[in-house]
Amino acid sequence: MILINTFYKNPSLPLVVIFLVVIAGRIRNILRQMRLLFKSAIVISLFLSFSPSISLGQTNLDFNEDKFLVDILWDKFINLSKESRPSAALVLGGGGARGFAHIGVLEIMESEGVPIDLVVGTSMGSIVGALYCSGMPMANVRKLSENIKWGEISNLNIPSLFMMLISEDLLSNEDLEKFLNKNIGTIDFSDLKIPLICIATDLNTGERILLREGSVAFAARASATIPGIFKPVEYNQRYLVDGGLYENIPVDIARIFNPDIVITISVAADISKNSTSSVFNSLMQAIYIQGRVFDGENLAKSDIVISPSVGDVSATELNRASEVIRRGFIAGRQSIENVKMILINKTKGKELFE
Amino acid sequence: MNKIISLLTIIFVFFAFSQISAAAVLPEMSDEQISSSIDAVFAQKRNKDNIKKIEDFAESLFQNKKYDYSRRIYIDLLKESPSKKKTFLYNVKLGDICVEEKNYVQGLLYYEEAQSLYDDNLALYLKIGSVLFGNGLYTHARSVFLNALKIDKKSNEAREKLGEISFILEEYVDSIRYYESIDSKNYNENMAMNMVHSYQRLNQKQKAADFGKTYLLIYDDFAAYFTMGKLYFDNKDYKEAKKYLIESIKKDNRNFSAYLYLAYIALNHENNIDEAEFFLGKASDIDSSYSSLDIMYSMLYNKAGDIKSAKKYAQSANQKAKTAFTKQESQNLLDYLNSKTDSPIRK
Repeated sequence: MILINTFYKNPSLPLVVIFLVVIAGRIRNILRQMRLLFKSAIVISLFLSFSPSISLGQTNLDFNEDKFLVDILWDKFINLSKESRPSAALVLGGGGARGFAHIGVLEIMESEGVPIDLVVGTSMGSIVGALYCSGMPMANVRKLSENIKWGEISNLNIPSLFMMLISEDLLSNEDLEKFLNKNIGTIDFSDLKIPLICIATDLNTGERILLREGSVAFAARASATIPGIFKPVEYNQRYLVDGGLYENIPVDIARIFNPDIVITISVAADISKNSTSSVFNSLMQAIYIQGRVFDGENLAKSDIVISPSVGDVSATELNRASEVIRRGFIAGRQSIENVKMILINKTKGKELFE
Repeated sequence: MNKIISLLTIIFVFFAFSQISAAAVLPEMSDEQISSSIDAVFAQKRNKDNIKKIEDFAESLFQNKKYDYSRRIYIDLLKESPSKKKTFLYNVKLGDICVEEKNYVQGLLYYEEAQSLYDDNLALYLKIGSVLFGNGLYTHARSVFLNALKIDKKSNEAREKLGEISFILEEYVDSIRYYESIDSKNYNENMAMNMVHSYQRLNQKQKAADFGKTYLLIYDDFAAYFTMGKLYFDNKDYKEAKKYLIESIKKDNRNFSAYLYLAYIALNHENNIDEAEFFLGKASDIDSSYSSLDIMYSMLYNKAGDIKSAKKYAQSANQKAKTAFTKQESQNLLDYLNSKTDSPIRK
């Protein structure tokens, strides 16, 4: 015990012991021992000072087999002709400003070369679908969207809302059609690079209307006409409004065309988080609740569902476009491997392995 | 001269021993001896010097992983109602002990206790954040590191961790933003690789490649070359991909993945069956248990016209498959080959 206390109080005590040994022994032999100790001490101190970072070779534990197979088979897949690969339909759900998330997802799909053979869109899904199917690069669509305001695509503002309440005269989203024509050209459906179907609702009969011909900008506008706020769009003696009134995620429409795979991007609202403080928001909430009836069934009919985390974004928050696009990008990045796997799985062996 | 050498040696040994004496002694002490030592030091009169020695002793016990004894000292010190500063210190130390013992909840409780005394201690925030990060609680960790940045806007450690958290959560824009706010002199290998991957995933392919090349000048190792090789492979620049993958295997000739990618490039983009076979042989020497290796062999023999061997490897791949995807694709391959007839001539 005394020894332990002594050691603790006097760390230099071992030194004293060694010194005595040095003095007591023969100088020449002790010198030889000290030289050896000196060299060993240098080695030890060098070892202690410079811990070498041992770079281990990448072991097989690091090898992701699925990732490797997806990489090499996708490399073959993207070079296949349309006839040799499975067909894919893309369903873009409605959601107002939440629909900006479609842009983020499509950026990923575009950069990875995912081939799409048909797009079916509702409301904002139709607008983004129109831009995508026209061949506009998604980077350009992103830039277009990040600064968009209600005033550019409608006459919606506080004074006009007030006038609407007084006069019962609905607002107009005609500017949306002009906006689309300006950016994609006054094109028809036949001019599109990828076939598109815009879903609208006949306000008089409640029927679902598939818009597949004529002006693309007109069809997208009709699909995104919010009932009760914007005037219905007249079309062949029908009065068309937002397709989400009937069904927000039209997977069954996509299935009619027998694609091998249906990819759905759902930008559903989390109705528990939505504000219902204004006439506009209340109307939108009513549409979401209505649309939810079929959404669940439709999602189950999809081969893959990509759900960007945008439930907390209100349909009217165009100012959050950048943030919503980014969330779509994240969801797209998280889902792309699954998309590739499903497409590869649906491809015949002859096409992939020949 | 001999005396001078002796003197120098003694000085050196003295230096070494004085640094490690306490630590050198402790591992040799039995638990009973340590316990008695603790009793002895606590029996001494309290003054500044003695408290310092007690703290040093507790620290050396901690360094020697004698956590129970170290903890005992700190708890006993806390019982003596020390100053606010000392209370803070002892709670942090107790937290450190719990973290070392992987008792993270208790550790965080001690840290919280310390934080209630001094809410602006950067080091403590970094400790708390690191514990949360280490346990996969990335969102909570992020909040803590953001608070750390409020205390010190220049904290590179906080920014690095925020960058890493953003990367893990696939928020690549934020990841890049945090990393780029750190002086490049302070980059480490993990940060650099995360940045390359982040640029790549943001479709900033050129930036990823440029940054990757700069990063290679610093981290000249197999992982860096492999990352660059994969980057170029994903960008479909197979010539550049091959160059970097070969450098990768020069640095580490047991890089299994690199051999497989090289085999694929040789087979499908250069039509070089012999080279592909060479690379597959190397991969096989490292580990022949992977289904994907046999799929590659099957593709090779199919290309060479040896359908019998191709089927054999496809069958083997199917048996070895460990994931649903690999199983499906090996079956797909096998079904395709079964529909073909043998053609014995190798091209």
